[in-house]
Amino acid sequence: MKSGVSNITSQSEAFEKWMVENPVKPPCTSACPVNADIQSFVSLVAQGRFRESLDAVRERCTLPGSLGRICHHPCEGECRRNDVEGAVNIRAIKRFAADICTDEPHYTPVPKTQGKRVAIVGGGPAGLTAAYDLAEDGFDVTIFEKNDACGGAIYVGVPKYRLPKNIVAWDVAAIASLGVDIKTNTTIGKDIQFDDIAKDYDAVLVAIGLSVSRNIPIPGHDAEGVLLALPFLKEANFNDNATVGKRVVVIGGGNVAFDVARSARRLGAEEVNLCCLECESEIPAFSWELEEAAEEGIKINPSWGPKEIKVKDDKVTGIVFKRCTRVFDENRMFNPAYDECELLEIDADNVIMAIGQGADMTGFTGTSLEVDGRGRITWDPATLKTNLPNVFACGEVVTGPGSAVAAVRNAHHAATAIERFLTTGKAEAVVMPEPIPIGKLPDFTIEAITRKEKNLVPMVEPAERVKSFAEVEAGFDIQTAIYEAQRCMNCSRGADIIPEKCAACLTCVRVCPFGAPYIAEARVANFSWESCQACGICAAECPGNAIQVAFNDDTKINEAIDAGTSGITVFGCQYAVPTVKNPASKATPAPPGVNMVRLMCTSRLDIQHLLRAIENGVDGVAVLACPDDKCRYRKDINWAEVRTERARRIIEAAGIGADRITFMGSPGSPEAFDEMMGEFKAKLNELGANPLSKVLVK
Amino acid sequence: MIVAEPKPVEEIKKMLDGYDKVLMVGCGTCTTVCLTGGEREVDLMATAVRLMHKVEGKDIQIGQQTILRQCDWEYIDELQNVEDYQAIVSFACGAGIQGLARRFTNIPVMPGVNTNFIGFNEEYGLYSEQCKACGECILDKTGGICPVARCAKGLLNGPCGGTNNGKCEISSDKDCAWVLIYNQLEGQGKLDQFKQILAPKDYGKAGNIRMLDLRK
Amino acid sequence: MGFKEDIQSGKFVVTAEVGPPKGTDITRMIHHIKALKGKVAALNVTDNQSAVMRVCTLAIAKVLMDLDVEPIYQMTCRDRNRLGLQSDLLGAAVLGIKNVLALTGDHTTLGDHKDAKPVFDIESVQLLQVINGLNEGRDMAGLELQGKTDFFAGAIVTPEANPLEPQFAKFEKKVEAGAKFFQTQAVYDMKKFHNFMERASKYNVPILAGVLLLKSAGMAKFLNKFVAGISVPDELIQELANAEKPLQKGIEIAGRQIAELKDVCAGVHVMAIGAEDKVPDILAAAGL
Ligand SMILES: Cc1cc2nc3c(=O)[nH]c(=O)nc-3n(C[C@H](O)[C@H](O)[C@H](O)COP(=O)(O)OP(=O)(O)OC[C@H]3O[C@@H](n4cnc5c(N)ncnc54)[C@H](O)[C@@H]3O)c2cc1C
Ligand code: SF4
Ligand code: SF4
Ligand code: SF4
Repeated sequence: MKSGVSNITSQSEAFEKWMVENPVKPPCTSACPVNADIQSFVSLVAQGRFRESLDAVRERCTLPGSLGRICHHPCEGECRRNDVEGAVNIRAIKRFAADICTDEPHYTPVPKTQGKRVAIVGGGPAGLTAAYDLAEDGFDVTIFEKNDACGGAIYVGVPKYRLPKNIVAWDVAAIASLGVDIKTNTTIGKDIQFDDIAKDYDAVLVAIGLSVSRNIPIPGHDAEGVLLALPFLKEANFNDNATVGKRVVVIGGGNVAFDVARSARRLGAEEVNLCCLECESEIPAFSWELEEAAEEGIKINPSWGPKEIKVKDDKVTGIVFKRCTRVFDENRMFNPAYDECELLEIDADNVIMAIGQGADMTGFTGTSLEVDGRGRITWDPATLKTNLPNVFACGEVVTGPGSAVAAVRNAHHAATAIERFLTTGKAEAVVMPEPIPIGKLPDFTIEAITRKEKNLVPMVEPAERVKSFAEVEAGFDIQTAIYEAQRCMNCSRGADIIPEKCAACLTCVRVCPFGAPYIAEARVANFSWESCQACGICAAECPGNAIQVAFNDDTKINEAIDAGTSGITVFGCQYAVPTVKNPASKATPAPPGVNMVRLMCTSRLDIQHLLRAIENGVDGVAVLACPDDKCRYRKDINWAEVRTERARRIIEAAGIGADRITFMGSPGSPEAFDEMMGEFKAKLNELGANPLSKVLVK
Repeated sequence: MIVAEPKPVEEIKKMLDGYDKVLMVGCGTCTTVCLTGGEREVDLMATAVRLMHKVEGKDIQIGQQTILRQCDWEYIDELQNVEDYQAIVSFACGAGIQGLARRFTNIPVMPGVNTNFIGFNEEYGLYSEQCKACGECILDKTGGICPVARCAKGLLNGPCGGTNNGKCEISSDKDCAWVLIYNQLEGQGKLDQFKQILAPKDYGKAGNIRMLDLRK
Repeated sequence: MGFKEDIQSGKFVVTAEVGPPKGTDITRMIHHIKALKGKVAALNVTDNQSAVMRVCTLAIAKVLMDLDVEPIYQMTCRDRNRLGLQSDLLGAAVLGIKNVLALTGDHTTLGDHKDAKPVFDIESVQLLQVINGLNEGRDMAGLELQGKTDFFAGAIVTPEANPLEPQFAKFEKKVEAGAKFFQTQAVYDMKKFHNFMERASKYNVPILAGVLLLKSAGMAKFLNKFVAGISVPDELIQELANAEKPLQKGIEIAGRQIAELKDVCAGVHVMAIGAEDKVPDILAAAGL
């Protein structure tokens, strides 16, 4: 593990255990192709622990800066907050975690303890991800990349107005910092022969993606002015002097076509028509691409198939379309039908084909790697193996076109397969988890949840956007990011019962603001995970100590408490403790002499926790409240305050002095927090040392 | 259910003066349900007492065990290594405390709670006395509302002159049981019951060392 | 002619009360008794009034009789169980006490010994039955007495109680249990009292309306706030507040009230609370 994400509300190891043991997962994690631990990285941002958040993101989303910009975020579609007032803006939070840490040092190389070498062909999202996983596992990994830099399609293809190239480079550098050897400008099949690396390395992963754009063999398709999507995008990305005609027609309805059309606008095209076979509702590109393109003045023409390109003097002058009446047949097979009577002619200086990509297998023909008649690698999707014993393949080259994050998922899969192959010598089928999402929020729970409006990311105005390739989407500022992250409800990390201890006393049923607990058939309390918000009120009230809250259980809380043996121990909910002093800092954000114990919510605070800190010998214990308007839960009763009062009475009776434990308001800002701590310290100085430690930290 | 309240920790500490090996025993039934004598409270009291000793520079070893009920021999016998302790603090109701005292005759048993009443659990942490265990139930005549327990004076024949806007003379936040009874009977069309003079209660029944033998 | 005879003859009867002192010095009380002597039909002797511990009723009743004033022996159920109550009643009979007012008694928590165990073994309705029994020659256990009592037993009622219904039902029970006369809590709202009397008159028991001397506007407000079943109307409070000599005003008001009550009920019970020597002035103001 390269970085210890260790705190109470998020633990990578705990997460892995939980992934295996828990039957249901938050819907965001379930919907995420890489099953990212979204709650953890979101909650770390909520706490202002940005670097830790970034590290948590990278565990599964290996390219946080890039994916934080271009991921199609299926997580948000499933976020349960949709039923309250709008999904948590997960992607923007991820992007924020990356952006705020760009000046942070990356990692130190992981020792190559495995003694085995892995060659990865292709440094796209798939190759990079596999490299990350394998390097973390202690393998000696080398990436061979044809281009001058890694990133693959997101480097050469995705336009920089969506994803600036320095971001890709930063993501790549982080992976390289783990000790991955990256050889750019190295084409396998040209600079180095495939069979040689297959022999020299213990394992080889082929992740060469789909790097050639296809053309359509209609009349005029080879005339001057007919361009292909990928070369065009590469020009737009890297040639500062790139130009395009005034009138451009783009053929295709996928995301690539929209990137092409929008790049053409930025290169100076005044009239951009995008024509595709699909009818409006079937256009495969994401809805936001359609919207943003329309805003930029691009005309979208659905249900048109290209018939012929008009050419004069070998140069394109226009294009004729025929009406497309259907794209798929009854068997859902691609099988377009046309009505040749209905035609559309558009004048054009350039026609750009964006109808799909294929693999470039030139470097592999005639090698020992088996490639079928249609140019596809022989491949087993369960083992990820090719025909060769030590050669694996992953990413779009084998899965076909999809999203970057899907390629990342497939690469995690491949890395696991390779790791097992290299440690056991056998290539076995690897089953990737398919977590079951937790059910919807019941209506009565929705009612009880505090409303918090969703934050959208700011976008540059369309008129301004088309003027350059400057990034169109801005990130969140710190305050917005924290607020947005605080909207996450930590779905499914809820309360659980220890049945032998349950007295069926109904305390949990009565104290829960969300209606989660109920007395089940066996006269034992049970919890609806759908409803539980993991606040922990019930766990701290249960008279039989029969409730534990996952990720906020006593063992972990006590560990955190025991970290403080002098000075001040501060309890706060994951949101109340402001830590954003040095935003990018990964270091403990608390002022010196302060041991911070974060709970999901201070309602989880047990009187025992307070006494434990005192018994450990700290001079004082402070409990922070989150501001009412920020509290994710509800404060019908201020549980933390009530319990603090009882703890105070107890230590007063013990002659330790009630004032060593104090319930504080919300500090609001880190500066105010420091001030509060200063005042508290002054008071503690007056009180003198805790009789249980006899040493006062001044 | 039997309702009890925690004793102040100072009081418990005082009872334990001179002992350095003590067993605290929780009860998993009534006193757990009323948040007073379950595992959590026992834990808390043990911590509190330990802290108090530490401050005085004394060592005390406190064992903690919670059993299902302290008013049954079989459950009491689930306690382990009791003989290792010099004193026991019981967090059960008075019946349970005495259960331990009867079982472990050579070890002093102290009460960890004050047993208050037979009550109803109104809501979280709120209990109301409902029954005095008089042994002579008259709820059939009083609209299902017990004046013995819920009238401050235990009157049997209507409100005293202190009844005030439906509240009892002893406190404006307590309902006058007799107004409740009147309203209840009126609602049921049974005011004739209110008019019957109830005879003095047979306190001989409640005042004795009571035993109940259902086997006879 | 005594209290019982007066009341049964249909004469408008006036009673007042004396509070036994806390301590053995009874000179002030004797002063009050002397001031009232001859002006009233009988004097109530309160029983640890407001649950405040004082000289026992029996002794003071005896003092009254020695001064030739007829006592109404108040007996609450708060401090004695059925044994104590009955034996005190027998003692009272032996001393020649004729009138007993059966009360439940204020709760101990309202008094000066808040930690005391309140007894309430029986209560007013049952006490009335007990007195009847003693009059008939048997105790609560049904055992025969050697020599029976001959008490004239009364009870109290609060005509302005809120709610009135349960209170009225209890009044009916007291009549049924043998109450031969009633003294009421202070009456201020004449309309309410008229209504009450309309319903109560059919039971044919004499009712002495309570008249409480208001000594100041502050006292009136205090009563409204803290004493159940008393509601001094705002006009009276205003009258007192505007008066130069509030006590004088209070006497005038009480007199007015008595005059008004004359045709409504069988008599009045004047409570002067520490100003017993002013009762003659009140009666004068009432034209009695
Ligand atoms: C224009 C465009 C826009 C896209 N937009 C999005 C988007 O918004 N969101 C999203 O999720 N996905 C998007 N995608 C898809 C995403 O980029 C791909 O899913 C992803 O890059 C696939 O990763 P890969 O590693 O499998 O292949 P690639 O990214 O294609 O990487 C393969 C790498 O292998 C190298 N290579 C090939 N042959 C050789 C060789 N012989 N020797 C050495 N190196 C070689 C290539 O140079 C390349 O770097 C977009 C794709 C394109 C083309
Ligand atoms: S609220 Fe949080 S945990 Fe729940 S689905 Fe949304 S992002 Fe995931
Ligand atoms: S943790 Fe909170 S939300 Fe979950 S069951 Fe307990 S009280 Fe309810
Ligand atoms: S006010 Fe009601 S409840 Fe209180 S003592 Fe009187 S009758 Fe009983």
